[in-house]
Amino acid sequence: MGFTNLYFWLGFGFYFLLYWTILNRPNRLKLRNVSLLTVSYLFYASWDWRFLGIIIFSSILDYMIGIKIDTSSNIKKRKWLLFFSVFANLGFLSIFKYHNFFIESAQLALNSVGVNHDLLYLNWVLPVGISFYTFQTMSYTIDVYRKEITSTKDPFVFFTYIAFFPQLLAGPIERAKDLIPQFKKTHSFELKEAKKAVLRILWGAFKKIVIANRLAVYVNEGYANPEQLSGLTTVFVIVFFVIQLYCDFSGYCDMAIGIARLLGFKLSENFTRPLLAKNIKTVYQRWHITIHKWFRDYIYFQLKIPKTKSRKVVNVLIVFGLAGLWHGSGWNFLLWGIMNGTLILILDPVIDNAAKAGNKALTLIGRIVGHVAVYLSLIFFRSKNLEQAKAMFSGLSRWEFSMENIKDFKNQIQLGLNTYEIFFGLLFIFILFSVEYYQECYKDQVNSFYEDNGLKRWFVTLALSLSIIFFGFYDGRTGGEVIKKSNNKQEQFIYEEF
Amino acid sequence: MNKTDFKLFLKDISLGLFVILFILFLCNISGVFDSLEKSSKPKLLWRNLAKKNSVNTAQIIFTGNSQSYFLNPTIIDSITEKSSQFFGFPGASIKPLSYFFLNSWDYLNPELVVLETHSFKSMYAKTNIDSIIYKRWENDVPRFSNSPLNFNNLLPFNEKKSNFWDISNFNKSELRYLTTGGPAIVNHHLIDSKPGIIYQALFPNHNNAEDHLKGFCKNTYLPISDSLLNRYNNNWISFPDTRIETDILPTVESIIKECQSRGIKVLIYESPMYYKHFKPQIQRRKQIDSFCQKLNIPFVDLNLESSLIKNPNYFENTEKQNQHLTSDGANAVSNILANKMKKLFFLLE
Repeated sequence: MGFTNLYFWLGFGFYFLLYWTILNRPNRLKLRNVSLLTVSYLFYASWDWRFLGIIIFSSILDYMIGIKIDTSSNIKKRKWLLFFSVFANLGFLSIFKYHNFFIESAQLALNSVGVNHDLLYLNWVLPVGISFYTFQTMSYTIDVYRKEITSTKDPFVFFTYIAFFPQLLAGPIERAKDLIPQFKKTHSFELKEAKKAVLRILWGAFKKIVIANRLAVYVNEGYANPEQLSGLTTVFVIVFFVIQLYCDFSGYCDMAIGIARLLGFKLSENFTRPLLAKNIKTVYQRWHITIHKWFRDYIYFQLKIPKTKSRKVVNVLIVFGLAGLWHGSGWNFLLWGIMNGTLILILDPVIDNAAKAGNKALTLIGRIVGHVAVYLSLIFFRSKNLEQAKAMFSGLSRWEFSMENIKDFKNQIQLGLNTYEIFFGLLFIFILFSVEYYQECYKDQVNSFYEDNGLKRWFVTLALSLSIIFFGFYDGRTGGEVIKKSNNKQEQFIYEEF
Repeated sequence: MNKTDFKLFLKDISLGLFVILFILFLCNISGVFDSLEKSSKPKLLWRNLAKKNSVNTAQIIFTGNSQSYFLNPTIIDSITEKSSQFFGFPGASIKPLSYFFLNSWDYLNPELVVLETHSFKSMYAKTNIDSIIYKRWENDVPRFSNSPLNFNNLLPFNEKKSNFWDISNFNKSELRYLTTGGPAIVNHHLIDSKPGIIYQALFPNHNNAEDHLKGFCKNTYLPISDSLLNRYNNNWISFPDTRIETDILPTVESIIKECQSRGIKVLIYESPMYYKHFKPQIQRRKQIDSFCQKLNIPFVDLNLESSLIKNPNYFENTEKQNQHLTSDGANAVSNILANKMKKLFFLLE
């Protein structure tokens, strides 16, 4: 059960009323946190109750280790405890997420030296959101070790911090110092914030259900048969995937932030219009901000300080390679990460220097090339393996210019979606970019949007709601290649699999 | 907690939800969510048709499904020198078509009613709610309502045997239909697939663009391709000779008898299929022939017209059992059928 499920909203509506009328009282703080934890565990169990064991075990482990590290003054002991926590957490992650990647790599290595022994592949389901809560709990232990925060003694607060349902499945990955204090106080209901939250949820749902789900049909169809695509349709598939991924994940984050805000909690921003970024580094400073901050704070800053250019290159590639592997277990993800690191090292200086020199044409060309390069790198992200990625790249060379092709243009571009569905898809993408451009360039007006009389807000809210109902893509349209073996294929968010 | 703020918020949310549900409700009863094809809901059709002058004054009423609604009314009217009108919808079976006649006699004055045999089949419900409605119709044959907002559909108080729980269960189905498993969800893509459907459903009387088609539809099917022709010649297994289910014929008979009692002539015809697509329909033809002879009405089997059935350009490029006419095919069939109608019914006038 996810954020696009009607039953979730019926349940949440009921809990929302209970929360603000009964639970959120200074003398009932513990009860409120217990209720939040119960609701979070119920939410998680609705995916698969067996996964609850893993998250509870991980929470108990880090709760105890956090207290032990905090109370111990023995540096060696503190180090060992931290090592044990990181080892256990990454161990879980490796078992569930990376086992087959390691086995496959080992198998390849064995085969290459002439040993033909079949290794055991495990057919385990990846627990939803495991990468997110594992990194969140690790950040807590590391922060306690670094003495940036003190350990949390109240188990309900800590357990709720790990399992807080709005951000449990796909982030934002919250730091303990930001989120835990919010569980220790009651919140006041603010009308303006609540209205903002509702609009944010609707905007997120619009991005996910109307745009991402629609483009998913096209993209899935394209990736299912990459060798049959013409050059033009390959370009459509590649660009649509970028927009699908962005709308899917940022849509989820908008909904998560909005839901948490309706309960009085403030979560970190995870996206700030990355597709309008001016260079590749900024794309990743604006895209999935919390994970990139995590890698910056806990990996990049821990690496040897780069005194030479070559060391800096190595550091950047290590961080991006690991970020790639965080997203998925496969050589394609590693390659995607390294490719982006390389692009930052090579292209960004060109773009930045051109901008500094005031060369508008070169800056523009640099930015376009940068974005195109990022889009192309996402082929590795979306492909199941390197062969599929290769087939997509070869599709880019299939261009045939003839009158027949031009006449047949309408039929050629239809891939899982008919002409109207594509037309409306393009219209909604235009609306998305217009809104983002407005938010980017007219920040003051965006603020006044919530302060003016409610007519504009009512209109936007109603338009979004009706668009979601009338133009949304729900279950039943999965395209040629099913994203995940699930009953709720369209309901699934891409990042929940990470 | 600021209680005033909280109350204001709840008020706003409730009002918003009410507005959305009301819009959905209006769309639903207007038929916006009904089906991919336009005007597929008999209830909506009756409402629309009764208000049309072309229906009230039509001299030939065609009825059936996609096997007949692609015919060309211009050709038919020019040959027969009569005014024709089609009534039907995609996948229509004879039962809902019979309800149309039952509800519309007060508005119709035809000289001839033409029935196409592919609609002589069981009533097939596309959605759960259709199935509920059809079941209700089995016990309580629907009567025409001219009211655009027929609340009886949502609250069947007029049913004699209904009690609170029946009503509540029925409404639960209708609400489920609206909220979770219903048309807004299941047929989510219909509106942007066919944007015109909103206009047609909400403003049926203002859609004059297709009035000249008189209920018939334009056809966009592509003709049989070379590869399908190859298949026909090599490894094609023709669809079998299929008789009409015997429990369907009494409904056809009741329509025919009603027409005869009103002095209206009736013609039954079978739309053609490509000759290799199906096996020769010998048993089916015998069955319909004997049925028509019993009721003393003519039967025109266009599968006997070799100029039609051997022309691959006249038939849709499909491997499905349900093969439609292409635009050329529909014109050719209209021509032949209209000439036969003229010869059978209007030549002596």
